[in-house]
Amino acid sequence: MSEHAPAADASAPDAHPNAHASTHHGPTVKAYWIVFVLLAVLTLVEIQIPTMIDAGDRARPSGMLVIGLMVTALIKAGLVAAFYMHLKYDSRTYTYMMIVATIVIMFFLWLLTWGTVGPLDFDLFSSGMTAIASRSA
Amino acid sequence: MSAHVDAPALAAPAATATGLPSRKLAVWLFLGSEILFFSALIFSYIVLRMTSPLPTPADPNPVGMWPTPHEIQHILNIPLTALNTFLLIVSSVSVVMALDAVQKGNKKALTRWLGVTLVLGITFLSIQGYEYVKLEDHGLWFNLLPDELGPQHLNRNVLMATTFFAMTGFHGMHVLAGVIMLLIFFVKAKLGLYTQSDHEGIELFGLYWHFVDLVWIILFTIVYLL
Repeated sequence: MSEHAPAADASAPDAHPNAHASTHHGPTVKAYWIVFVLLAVLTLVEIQIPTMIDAGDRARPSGMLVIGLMVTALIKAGLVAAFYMHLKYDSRTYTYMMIVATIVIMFFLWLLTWGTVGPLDFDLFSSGMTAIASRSA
Repeated sequence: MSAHVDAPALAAPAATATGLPSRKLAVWLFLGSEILFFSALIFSYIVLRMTSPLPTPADPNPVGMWPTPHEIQHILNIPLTALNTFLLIVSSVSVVMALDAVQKGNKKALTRWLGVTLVLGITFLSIQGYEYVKLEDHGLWFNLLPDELGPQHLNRNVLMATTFFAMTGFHGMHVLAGVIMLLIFFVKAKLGLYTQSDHEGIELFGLYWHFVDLVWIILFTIVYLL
């Protein structure tokens, strides 16, 4: 314990109890816990999805599995960014910065992977083997 | 800077060209660069996996084929990793609770929640270390795939192991960096150095920690479940 912080003051509010209240527009504690429960439930759902949409012996995941899992993961990531990172409440500039960074990297990686990974390799309802076979035909 | 400054002027946030706090803007820019970094790693994995040879009726086990989920998922110990994912989510809650505590001027709760986050971060790293040891026991390492993949395992693509350790290893290093920072924040909170009006460090650290959590949410899905 610091010599400058007496025990009696340790849990007490600071000298200016309203100093931050006027500038704090973030989520409430209740919202934090609701998001936590949602994240926990979504994680439980997520680990069940591969058993519901059997990945089996496929060399590549099926389109349904990719969509099911990525939608769940993106909802979780969105909840973390919006509520825990306060993007929902902060200046929109931060959100735009993240969106721009994501678009830029996706664009350049799309250019770099042109012709190697594309729709022909991504079959929504059947296995990758069917997709590659149809490409070779 | 003038030597004569009024007290209210000290308390007021410095005006910036963007109208945003400079340090917070810098952290967000850093996180933007982290998006580029992790996206490059994840895309490398996706491209290598999607361009690996597929089995055909004529050749059901081509050289360089990616291990199938049935072959690899039980080795990766998904329940343990799901637990680790859950721990990281809990640690995100504890960070926001620490921020909420300091915003309300509750220094005791700030220290407690930072302590909880520290324990969770160390637990995450410990479980990841344990996971790596068990994977090596199975024969899964940077340039090795397990023998138990089957008699034709030599045909499987070893880049699966390389990309797995690259992605999870770099993420683990980010967690380690976060834990080291947490340790400093915890000590400073113990010393009562954060107040209701001066706690920007906690908020900025929280942004980093949540981002690391967010990256793990994506990595867990792509590396372990797909």
